[in-house]
Amino acid sequence: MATADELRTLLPNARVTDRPTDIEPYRDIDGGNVPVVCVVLPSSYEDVRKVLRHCDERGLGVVPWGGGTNLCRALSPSRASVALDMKSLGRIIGFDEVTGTVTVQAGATPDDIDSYLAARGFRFHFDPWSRFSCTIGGALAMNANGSLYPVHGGVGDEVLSLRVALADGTMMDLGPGTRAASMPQLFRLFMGSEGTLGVILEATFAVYPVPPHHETVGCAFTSFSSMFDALLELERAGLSPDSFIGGTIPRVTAKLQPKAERVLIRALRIKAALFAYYEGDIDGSTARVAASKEILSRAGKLMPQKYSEEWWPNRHTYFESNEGLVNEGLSPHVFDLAVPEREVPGLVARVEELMEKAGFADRLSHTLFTSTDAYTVSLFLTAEELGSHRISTLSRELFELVWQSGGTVSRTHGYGTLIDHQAVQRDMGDDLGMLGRLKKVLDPNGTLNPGVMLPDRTEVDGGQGAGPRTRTGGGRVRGPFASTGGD
Amino acid sequence: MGAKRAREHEHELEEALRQAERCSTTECSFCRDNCPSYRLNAFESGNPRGKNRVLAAYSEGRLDIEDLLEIVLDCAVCGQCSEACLADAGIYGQIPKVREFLQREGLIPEEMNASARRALDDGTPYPSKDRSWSEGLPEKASVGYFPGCNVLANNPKLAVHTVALLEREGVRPAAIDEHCCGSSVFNAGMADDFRDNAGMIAAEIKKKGVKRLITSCPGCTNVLVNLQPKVAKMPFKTVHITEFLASRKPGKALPGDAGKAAGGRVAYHDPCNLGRKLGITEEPRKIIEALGFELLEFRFNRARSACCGGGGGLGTVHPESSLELARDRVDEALAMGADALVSTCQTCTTRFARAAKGDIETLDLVEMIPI
Ligand SMILES: Cc1cc2nc3c(=O)[nH]c(=O)nc-3n(C[C@H](O)[C@H](O)[C@H](O)COP(=O)(O)OP(=O)(O)OC[C@H]3O[C@@H](n4cnc5c(N)ncnc54)[C@H](O)[C@@H]3O)c2cc1C
Ligand code: SF4
Ligand code: SF4
Repeated sequence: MATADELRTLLPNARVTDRPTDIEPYRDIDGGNVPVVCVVLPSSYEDVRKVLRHCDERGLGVVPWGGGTNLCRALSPSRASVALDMKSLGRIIGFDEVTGTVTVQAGATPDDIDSYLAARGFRFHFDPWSRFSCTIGGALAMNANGSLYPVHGGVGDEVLSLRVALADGTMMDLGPGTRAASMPQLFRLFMGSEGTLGVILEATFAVYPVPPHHETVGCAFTSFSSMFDALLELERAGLSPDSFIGGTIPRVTAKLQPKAERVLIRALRIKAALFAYYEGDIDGSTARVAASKEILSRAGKLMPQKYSEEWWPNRHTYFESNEGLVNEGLSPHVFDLAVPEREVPGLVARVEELMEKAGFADRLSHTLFTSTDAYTVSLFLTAEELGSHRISTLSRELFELVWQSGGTVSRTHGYGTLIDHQAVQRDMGDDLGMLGRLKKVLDPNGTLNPGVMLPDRTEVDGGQGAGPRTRTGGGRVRGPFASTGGD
Repeated sequence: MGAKRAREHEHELEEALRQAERCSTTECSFCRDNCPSYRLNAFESGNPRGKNRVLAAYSEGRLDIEDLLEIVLDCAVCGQCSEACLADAGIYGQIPKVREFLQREGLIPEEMNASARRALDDGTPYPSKDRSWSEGLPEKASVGYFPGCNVLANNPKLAVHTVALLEREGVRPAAIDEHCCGSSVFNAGMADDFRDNAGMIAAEIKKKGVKRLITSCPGCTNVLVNLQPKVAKMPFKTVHITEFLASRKPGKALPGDAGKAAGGRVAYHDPCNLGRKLGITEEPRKIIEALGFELLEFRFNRARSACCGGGGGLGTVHPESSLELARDRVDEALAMGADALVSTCQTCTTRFARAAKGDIETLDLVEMIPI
């Protein structure tokens, strides 16, 4: 019997499909020929457990699917697998105003949760650009973070407890549900494990009331380093913004600005811009804004309030403001790096040199998003350049520079199958070995996401059920915000 | 894989495929959550990103031509994906081209074709058309009123009421109701017939000397404003009734201001054709507030409004699922504590009334305005 038929019998309330039209988008994600044999939309946690048990016993892989927005081909198992689309379990289960907690199923999006909370005077701390389309399960599995990182950390930092299903179908409730507990926080193992250790079913988060006031200060600078120094000065003065984005203006986009802005950029020799966001009670945030303006105005040129205030409401549609780029057929391609703060200026200079040599200097931007050690290199590329050999080679050279600076090549965008195992090893060091050991204990048959992040057991010990690795590189690389691996 | 292909008309899909490629460099899925088709088919193939992938797979020979049919007929042509997409890759703009392609291949289902043929032959896709509303109206006038087949089939009182409101404003319109706007013809991918039908409407309007055409149905309005001018010369200005009523001279009260007693809480649903495709979002709100109601907003509103379930022939091809979508809207209105669910589109209000089954009052905004 075909897997889909077996699963239909096993899961009468789930939706199961192996129709070519339906499985195509799961096979074709990221341009690969992903070996998905069928797709299941579970109707309950019990369905998830049954799928896992069924596949685990038969040597089939399981790919937990969230919003499909990851940028590292983390939905590309190396052997035949069932796609378990968790978006069908996306309910908000409960909210407790007194304790300030919300419990949600893995398939809910940050925007679902935030809209629900907003109606109750609270907000959800995890606010990524993909807030309308990623799921909480996927975000936790990727250890993603968003614009409120300086205040609340990444998506996982406000988790109080997690319900997960292991590869053999065992369901576990992990975490005390409160912060006051000295037990090991084992639920944290699942964060950033890219779906390789278990399927996240449900999470409880601490949530906080919407701050009554917020304000943004915009400032233009004549260089990246003057912006960077200003940020450090803010930090020293205890005025670190509650969120910020700051980066160089790529020459190609500067050219695409409306004429008045182009003239201004040239006249003031503007090379970089910073938007610093402050929130809190009105007196506190206004005082912080005034003090921060004081510091920023010494280092750069403050923007009119109208421009400054535009960033926060538009922070999820950054790409839209680059309509000119879309018209030019260019997509931003992002290397999402974590680099020790003191190394950032030096690395920026070396990356500048590298890109100059490679002929990409005009289409390059250096950005810091929410943290002075979260350094992003963006290249604006044509569809042909995305995923080309030239960019792969350039990635490798860039990675070398990052490693020499003591940094890692993936801050939030993960490894998936895009970044090869050697590079992951170099980034993670002993942590990768520890992950491998945990994998052996929690998923001895290598059922969950085979070949993602860790080598598939079949690649390591030539175990049964190995199909050829379908994707050793190549394939499509997504543009906006896509991380590039070194394959 | 030996997928069945339709070589002859394939060039018609070139732009659609280019767009699918554009999506593939982003695949952000920002267009997913509010897509009515995805609400019906919760696999990825139901949402715009998945539909783009299916199109690409067809072009790469991995899927059959029949496979395209499924993703295209599930689409309510609501335009939400194009509104949400930042990479100009929403599939909405390409669905008509793909339907045209499928029509030429003889693959559009009979119920859609039958409805389109009725629109062409009988001047309405519905079984009947009550034309008594126009008795006594002038043969010729500079302003015309086009109620639309849906109004005449399901709620002819609305046409009578609208004429009374226009007359109160000193406008005696000529009746324009010989032909259907042709949206079902467009939805079935009958491009040539759609063009010919547009020409006939233009001729009727010209014959009656109309320079300004007032409409009730947002679907017809979209066809008249956005689609027909691409295939025929339409030498008149089209104005939706809410635009007309809200664009009174400053200082002059809106019709209905006298009846402030209303006082209730109403949830206003933006019809896709009016809010998203024509950008008419504030005028209906202005009227609701002028009528003295408290306005409640849906989570997805204005240009990002959700579909009532009736767009793109969805009600014809998937009647039950289409009602489920309407019920979603009813439930959200109830959860907001609304006393009534109001829209200004006959397709939406009919569907809401059916889905509400008396749980909430469903009203057309224009009918709420007292004469
Ligand atoms: C336009 C855009 C903007 C983005 N902005 C940001 C940003 O601001 N910050 C940021 O950090 N990232 C960002 N990303 C990356 C991406 O959104 C995150 O990695 C995201 O959280 C992934 O969630 P998802 O639900 O889409 O997961 P998917 O892509 O579906 O899956 C990602 C991984 O998680 C696993 N997984 C999914 N669900 C579960 C589950 N329930 N249990 C266990 N494993 C699971 C999958 O198997 C896969 O390995 C962006 C991406 C795009 C396309
Ligand atoms: S037009 Fe509407 S129904 Fe069709 S794919 Fe786009 S959002 Fe979905
Ligand atoms: S919003 Fe646009 S680019 Fe993103 S998935 Fe939808 S169609 Fe593709």
